[in-house]
Amino acid sequence: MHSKQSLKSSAKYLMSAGAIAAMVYTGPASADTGFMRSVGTSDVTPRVSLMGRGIATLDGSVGKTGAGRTQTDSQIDFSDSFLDGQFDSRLYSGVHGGLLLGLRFPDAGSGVGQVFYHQANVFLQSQHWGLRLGRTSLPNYLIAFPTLRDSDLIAYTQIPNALVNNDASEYAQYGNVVRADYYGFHGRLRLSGFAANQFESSPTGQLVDRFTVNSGGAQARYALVPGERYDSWLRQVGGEVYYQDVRDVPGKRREYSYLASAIINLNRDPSNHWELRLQGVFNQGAGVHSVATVLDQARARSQAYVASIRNVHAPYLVPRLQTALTVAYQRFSGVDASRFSVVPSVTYRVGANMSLVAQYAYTHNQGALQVASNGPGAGLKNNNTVTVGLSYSFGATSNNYFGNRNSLLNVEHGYLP
Amino acid sequence: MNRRHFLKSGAAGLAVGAVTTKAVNAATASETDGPVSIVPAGKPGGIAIPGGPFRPQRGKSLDGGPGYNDPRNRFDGAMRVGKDISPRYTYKNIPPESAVDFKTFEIDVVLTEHELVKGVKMHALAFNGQVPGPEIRVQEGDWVKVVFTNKTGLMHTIHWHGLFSPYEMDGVPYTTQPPLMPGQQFVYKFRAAPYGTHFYHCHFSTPLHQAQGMHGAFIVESDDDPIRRRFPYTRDYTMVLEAFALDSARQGFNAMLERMKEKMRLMKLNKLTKDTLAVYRNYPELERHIQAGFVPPYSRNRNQGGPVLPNWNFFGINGKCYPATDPLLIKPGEWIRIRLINGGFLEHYMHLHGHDFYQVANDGAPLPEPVRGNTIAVKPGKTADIVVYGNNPGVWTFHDHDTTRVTNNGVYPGGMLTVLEYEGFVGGYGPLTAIDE
Repeated sequence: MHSKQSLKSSAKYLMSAGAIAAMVYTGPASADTGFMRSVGTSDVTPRVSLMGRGIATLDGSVGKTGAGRTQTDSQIDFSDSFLDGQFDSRLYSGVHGGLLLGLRFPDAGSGVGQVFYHQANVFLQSQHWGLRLGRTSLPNYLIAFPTLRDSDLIAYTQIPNALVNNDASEYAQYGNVVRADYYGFHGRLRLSGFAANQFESSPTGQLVDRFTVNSGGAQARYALVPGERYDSWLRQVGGEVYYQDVRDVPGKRREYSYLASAIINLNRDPSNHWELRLQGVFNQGAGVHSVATVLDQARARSQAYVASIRNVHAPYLVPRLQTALTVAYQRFSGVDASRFSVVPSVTYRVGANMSLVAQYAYTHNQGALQVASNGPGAGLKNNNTVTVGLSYSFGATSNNYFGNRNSLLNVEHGYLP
Repeated sequence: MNRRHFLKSGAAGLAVGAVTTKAVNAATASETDGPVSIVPAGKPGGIAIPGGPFRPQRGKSLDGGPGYNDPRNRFDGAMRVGKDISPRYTYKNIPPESAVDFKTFEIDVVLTEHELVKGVKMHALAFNGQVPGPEIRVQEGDWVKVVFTNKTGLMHTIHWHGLFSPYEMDGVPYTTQPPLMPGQQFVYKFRAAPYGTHFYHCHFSTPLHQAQGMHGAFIVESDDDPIRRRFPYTRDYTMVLEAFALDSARQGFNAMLERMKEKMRLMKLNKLTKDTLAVYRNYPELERHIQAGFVPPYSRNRNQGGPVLPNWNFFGINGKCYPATDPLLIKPGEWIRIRLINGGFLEHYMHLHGHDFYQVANDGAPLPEPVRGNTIAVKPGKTADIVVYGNNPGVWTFHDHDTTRVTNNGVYPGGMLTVLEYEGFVGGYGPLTAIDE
């Protein structure tokens, strides 16, 4: 054992020395080490995009249990703040390839740690197809809703992770994914197929080190590219089928979920825009008739519906004020349990990149959800949360030497890679 | 209209034009017709304004110029609704089409892909689908009618650079006309003058539109060509010098296309305002809007330094970068004329190997004495005519001597480089095509 460890250490030392030697040989700015050294150091400086959002809020909540007891809580919350860096290049054939790295700050008390690495993937993209491989968002939703944080209504807005008994939203939103996309109809139609490794945990919520593919599915989505968003009343419509591997459930192999969504432009006024967002998730379940934990909730048969109405007031065509109202409802079959939430929110832009944000969230749990042990609003009959704070978001690109696949030029005036 | 004018016979330039002394006399007579209500344009440099000063006919009411009290105008004339936004004027100087023979040109503009050199394509605004736009060649004094149709999702005009067009034909948006919205048409009418090499270009969002394709040659010939009298040239070449910034152009186009979609939506909803159009009656009105809360787009609160500044990375002659440029052909003992037009925004120093040439015109105007040299600076907006005598057979490079512009994306040679080639020449070394030195 000792000699093996010594050899291992020596080998590591040698490899490190070799790597250092290779880097000195090729120059400090080059990543060309190892096998590709012989074809020269003709690196192309990538297009670099930095994107980020900092959201920091004061949250105060008051909830009532089923027994009538009042619980209060408050915190300074900076969860969901993130920083992403994308590095991509145009390849010899005109295809685009790149790397996306990102980190975000998880929910307080989630046990995920100080920082969560939500993006670490490599991708290829062309006019009609795309491929992405690595850590990224699970394709278990089709549209986002205008709450302050992505995870505010995650129980309703995403197909739940039926493999983890941990209510950290990161474990429901992200995983290791291989995804292939086809784009057609001037970039508006996207057909996707994917396989993923979702986070898995023990019944007590401890993550387990199992990295095999345990989920997958297919999506079909029609959406106007961002520059065309006012061109039609139908901005997006889509559907999805998703499976999760639940072999640990006796007599079960897979759990299927189905999702349908749409975004409708109620008007097409860019200075005062109203839109309606709708999504429904039907979870077939794995034969579980309990909602005691988030794992049970994910494995119970359920239907979830979300609708939001959003207004963006943009005098001078610069967005200034966003107001939104989101309502959500979920009910479980085979168990007396349902819940609904109502979330109005306001975002007021005080200048470039910066906004004042405020939100009120009301959740009512019915039946067995009032005694759930984990999950949003666990153990409460109802909960009221008021959130006020600041948000700063940005996106900056340098060496912008090629266009995006879904830019107006490429979609409407001939695709130039 | 064939862009490949290189192969045109010089004889075309000798065609008798419509200008006669009679037209000049008519101009003189009109200037002395009784009291005038505006100051005449005058005779700068001794050159008569064709048709005289542009003023209305007595006894007839004006109809529909920009800024006039016409129900089709909006925002004090910044916009004109309807498909044809030409002014239906009754100015004395523009005769009816039944009275004179207008040389008519149909020009449209599209947003299309353009190949600069094999392996490099860009999106360009192209008059009649080509970069540069079609060459317009008329005789001095001809009445010209250009029917311009906007087939893009952006706004445009055409400015006749160097020509004595009437005020409302000058093509400057919000100064002489409203710009053409998508789908609109404008009919430009003017008399071709002065003689010489001029050009035309879009004057809306000029830094992007003109640079990215909306430019073309406008040649006014004369049956008594003073330059041919002295230098009997038999070939007549036009070289439009260009600089392209592909990355900033792409970003500019995408931003403009998106913003125009929004403006068109607002227009359909009757919600377009002076602030969203960013056009005001005058500077004090803009000041009032800013005091009321409007943050102007140039303010550093909205825009720290422009969407992106141009990084010129491709340079062209007649829309092509070397090695895709066309050669100039010459024979021993022959004079050729080369019209250099700077259609872009950089200065170019055109140098011809193996020959001196004579600059014979500056901005279209014949020089009293030709200037001899082998390198000539052509600044943005200027034209320069040179004549070359074929006295040194060979294949001679003709290029911008700021050789950073003889590059394609930083790789030399490329860009603004062509050759003067003697027909039938066979030398000791056969020229090759090099693209990376």
